[in-house]
Amino acid sequence: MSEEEKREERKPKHKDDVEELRQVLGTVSDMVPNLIRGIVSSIFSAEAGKNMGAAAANFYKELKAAGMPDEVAIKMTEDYVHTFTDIGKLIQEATKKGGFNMKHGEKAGEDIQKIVEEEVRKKLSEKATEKPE
Amino acid sequence: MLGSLLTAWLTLGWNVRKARKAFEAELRKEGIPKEDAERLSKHFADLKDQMMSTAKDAIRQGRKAQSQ
Repeated sequence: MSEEEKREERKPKHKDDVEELRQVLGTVSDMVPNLIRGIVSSIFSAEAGKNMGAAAANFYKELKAAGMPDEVAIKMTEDYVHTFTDIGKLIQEATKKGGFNMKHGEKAGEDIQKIVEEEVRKKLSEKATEKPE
Repeated sequence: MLGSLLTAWLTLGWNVRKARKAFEAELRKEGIPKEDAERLSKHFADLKDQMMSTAKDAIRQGRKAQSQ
């Protein structure tokens, strides 16, 4: 075995892991900001604002054409715009710690555990009653 | 890292402003009064605030998880 190979063998394995982790983190830190930027720019850009404005203006125009009073038309348009911009709340709900999904998942896990335990108990008692015969 | 976060925050603020202005311009084309157009476009700022608070919460949770 050459000196080089011996040295390679002595080199701790965790150094390779650290190097690999460094590469992964480097890739993630390159890609995640671009991803977030893409999502944000699809909502907050002049183009998106213009499109949303056109939709809201059209909605208002239709309400006015139907004979709706100014105040009511504005209030309804506000509600309409609010449905576009309500995704913030959705994201917040989805990412909230201990939110609906997590609690739901934990509860489902507990239920499954109870069912499995009951089934195991049943099987064991069945086997116990079969043995004496 | 901190620099890129600051840049992202500034860019977001600028983009929200541009989106609001474009939104208001479209509404005013249809004859909606300026005050009402501004009130309607306020939802953009609210959405930005919500997203920022979501990001802050996520960072806080990450720190808590690290410290535990």
